[in-house]
Amino acid sequence: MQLTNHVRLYRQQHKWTQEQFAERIGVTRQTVISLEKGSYTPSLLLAMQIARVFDRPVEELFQLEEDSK
Amino acid sequence: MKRVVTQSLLNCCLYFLAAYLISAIHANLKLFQDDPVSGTGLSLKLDLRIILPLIIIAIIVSGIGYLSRTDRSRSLSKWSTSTAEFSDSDEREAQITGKATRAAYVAFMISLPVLMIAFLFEQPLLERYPAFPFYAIALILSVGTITYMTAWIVHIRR
Repeated sequence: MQLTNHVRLYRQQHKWTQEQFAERIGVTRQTVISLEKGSYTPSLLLAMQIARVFDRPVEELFQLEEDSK
Repeated sequence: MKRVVTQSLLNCCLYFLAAYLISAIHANLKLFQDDPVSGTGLSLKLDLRIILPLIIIAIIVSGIGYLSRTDRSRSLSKWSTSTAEFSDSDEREAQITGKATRAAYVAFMISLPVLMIAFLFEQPLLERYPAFPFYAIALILSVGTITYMTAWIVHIRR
């Protein structure tokens, strides 16, 4: 199982830089970069914070995908 | 990342300075014990050729660390007393700190038996390098710290 997200897409729609977005959710820019690349799985708290910032449900931003083998 | 590197390098300098200081005290104590009646007491001799480069490196690294601090409002006293290597400004950094600490612990568990093997040859080593145990301990501590730093850099770049 793998968690994918559309954080980059929504951030770009809101015309926020990674720095601005990081400030809004209270993390470092490095974490935003890692999150957008999909190499970091956020905690439930952070995922809900991100959803709140975008005013979208969590499941719209994050999806669980089966590993393709 | 800079603060973790700075603090780790400063810690390594500190280990070797401590090893040097302890070995210098040890050497002088031995001198005093050899002649307790007419001995001159404890007179500490420090070789500046060894101690000065370490102090200069520590000052340079501290200066770079202080000037490149992320929180500019932080005073020198607050900056110098913080344990910057345990960086946890968000949940990801806290997680990375945990992983790096684990790697450092594993490094200790591997390097300690290696040091114990080295102690099997303690006698010839002590004859050649009397301060060998102190530097060996400094080396073991440095291995842990360098492993911590490396693991932190590897994880933060992912």
